[in-house]
Amino acid sequence: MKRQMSRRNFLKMVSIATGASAAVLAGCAPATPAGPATAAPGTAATSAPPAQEASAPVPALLRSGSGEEDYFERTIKLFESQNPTIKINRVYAPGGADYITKLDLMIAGGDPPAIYAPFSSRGYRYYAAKGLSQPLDDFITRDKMDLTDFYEDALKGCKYKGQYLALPLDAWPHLVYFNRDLFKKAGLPDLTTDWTDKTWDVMAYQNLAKKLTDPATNTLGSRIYNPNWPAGWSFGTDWFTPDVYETGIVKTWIGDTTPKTIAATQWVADMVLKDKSATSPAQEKSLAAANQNPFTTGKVGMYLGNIGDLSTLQQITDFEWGIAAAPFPPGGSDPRHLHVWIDFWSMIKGVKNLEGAWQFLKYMVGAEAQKIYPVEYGPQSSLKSLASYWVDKQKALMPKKTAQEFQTMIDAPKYEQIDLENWTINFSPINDQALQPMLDVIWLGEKTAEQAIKDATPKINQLIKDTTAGLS
Amino acid sequence: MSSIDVAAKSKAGRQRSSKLLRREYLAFYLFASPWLLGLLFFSIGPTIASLVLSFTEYPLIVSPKWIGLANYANMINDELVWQALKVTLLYSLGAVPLGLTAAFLIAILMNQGIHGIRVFRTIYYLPAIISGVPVALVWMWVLNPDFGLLNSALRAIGIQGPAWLFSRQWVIPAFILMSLWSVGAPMVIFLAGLQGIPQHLYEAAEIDGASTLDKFANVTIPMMSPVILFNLVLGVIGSFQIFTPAYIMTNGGPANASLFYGLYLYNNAFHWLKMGYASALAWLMFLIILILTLLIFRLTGRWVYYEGSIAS
Repeated sequence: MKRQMSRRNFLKMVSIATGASAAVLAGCAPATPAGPATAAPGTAATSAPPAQEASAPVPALLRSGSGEEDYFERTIKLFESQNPTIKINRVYAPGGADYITKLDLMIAGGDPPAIYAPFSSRGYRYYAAKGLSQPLDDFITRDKMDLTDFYEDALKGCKYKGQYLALPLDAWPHLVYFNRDLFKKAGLPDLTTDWTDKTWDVMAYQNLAKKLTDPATNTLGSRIYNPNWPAGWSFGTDWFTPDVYETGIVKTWIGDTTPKTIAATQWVADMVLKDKSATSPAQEKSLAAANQNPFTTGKVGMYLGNIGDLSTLQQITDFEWGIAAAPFPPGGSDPRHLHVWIDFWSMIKGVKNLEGAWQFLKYMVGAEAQKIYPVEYGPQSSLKSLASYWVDKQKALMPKKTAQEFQTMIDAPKYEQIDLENWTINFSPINDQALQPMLDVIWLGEKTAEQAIKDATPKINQLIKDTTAGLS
Repeated sequence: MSSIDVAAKSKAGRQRSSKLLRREYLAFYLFASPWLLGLLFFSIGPTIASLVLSFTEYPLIVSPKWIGLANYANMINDELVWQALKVTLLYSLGAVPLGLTAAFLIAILMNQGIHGIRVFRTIYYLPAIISGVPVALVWMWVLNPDFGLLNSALRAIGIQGPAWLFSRQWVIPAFILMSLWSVGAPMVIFLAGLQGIPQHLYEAAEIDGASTLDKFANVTIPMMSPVILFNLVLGVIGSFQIFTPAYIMTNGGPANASLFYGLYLYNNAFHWLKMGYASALAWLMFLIILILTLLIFRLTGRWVYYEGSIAS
């Protein structure tokens, strides 16, 4: 007769099995990250760097999925042909949040990339604050690298606590695109290409949008000026104190005490809700799901977009469109506050072939590589000397654009400053958890900008306090 | 035969059967080992790890730091935790009853003996096997306030549809409506249950003069109560774990109106790299689902009828 296992024996076996699995799991725990093994967030690395191997391949985490692979492959092959002893180990990941997840998992798994460029809302400073970024100053000095060709603002952003920890890769400035045919139909002249024309301000923009709006033909004057946090910049002011661009740390919220920031946000909402001359966030999100820009429908008069939109706009054949400077804040007395999105290359500490990684980074931010990526891909180079090269490439794709329009595009980065998202350490959770929900409520018309900003202030201040703990 | 001989024979017999038993046990564990190892390494192990991590601050890219109960304490003051729980609970209160009712009614229809009923059963089940992301993308278009199928149909009968996913008031009803897409799975289970109800019960009821409604209320429902319980428990657990539609369609907006608990947990873990806090959130969810499930089981005595059980 079969003997059934007693409850005691069963429980004994389960306990042994659980303990064994815990022991095995502990033994299989990932190796400590390449950065500081025991350092708390925000402190410098304390672990010794690994022994250098000149022949070790250099792992590079590269973005894929938007067509960049071909451009990266071309530049990497050129680099490898010139540096036969350095092998680049390409690791591709989709852009945005997926890239960041891949980067974080590689670091956590103890196999970080030597060089990376996130193209997303997590900047190098986030990793620098955790002591994971490789300083570049010694390499720059040793190789006498000329940094004067980089756009100044971009270069300034590459410094963290006085050290260069990244170098700029590209520039995606903002411009106004307008539907020339709709302007002609409404009897309006083309928009100005002159960045210094102070009569072209946001109030003039709003008036034009109203004139272009025609409910009978479902035509709107403008896309929403900006449904995200830059809406608060429209009148030249900011949500936070300026030190954020130096330190990378969001420390002080001034949104509720800056009347122009409140007015700017309300202005964006009024165009949507009161004037009904701009697309709503709902309309924008619906079309974004299909990767479509409302402007390409020919039913939107103008919008503030970035230079990355050119690749889509170049395919428009139904109507003529033009490029203009972005408007000034009201009256033209204050400088604009527009952001230029800049990507960068940075290095993670603790890689085996530091010299090889540096040589690759130096090459990728140099003129030869930048002529291929980013220039051939679309955005502007981070080097001032490649501005005319970029124009020549774009002329072939947009033969009808005037010289003034190209000059407007080249001049744009001079009038704009680096984005908050990928140059700060703690902006992302503040934006996700408080700033964007605050704006959503305004765009829905449930609260005025003043009320919504006031209501969100305690939460924002709490998040700043939580996310700056341990940061200096 | 002397008692010593009997004892010796019996001992030899026990030794033989003990060896046989050991061989059988060994064979059992060998055959069961893939599943057991999977359970240990992919379920129990990570569960224990997440419990430990819930007492740490762990930003993933640096080592975890022990902080005791701080994560659990922070949850109390985290208004987004309460918002996420409220959103998830509202969704569950709407989606589960609606889903069960729809699945039950469809199962009754599918239980009719008409030609081609198998084709209809397949058609109604098919949506349940299509994975989450394409379904979410399709529904984004269906629920589009300007040119979506739903609002276009409403406009055709003179009703101005709401903004659905872009309205704080309508975003949860939109998700509840969308949950009907997957009634195929509970429907199949209900159908199996319906087909298992003995016909003599209906015949006996008819003889006693029961109407269709009487038969439904006094035969069908009681006999189906165990199946309803099963689908109810699964439905509640599933509704609390909703993630993909919210991630794809709204990402928690507008203004956190669709911030489901699973999405908030995901954001903490993989977006803001607060693995320790996310682990604590996961354990809170486990406790909530456990309590709800136990509550449901506690109440089964009042409404679940098991054939052969003694009437209370």
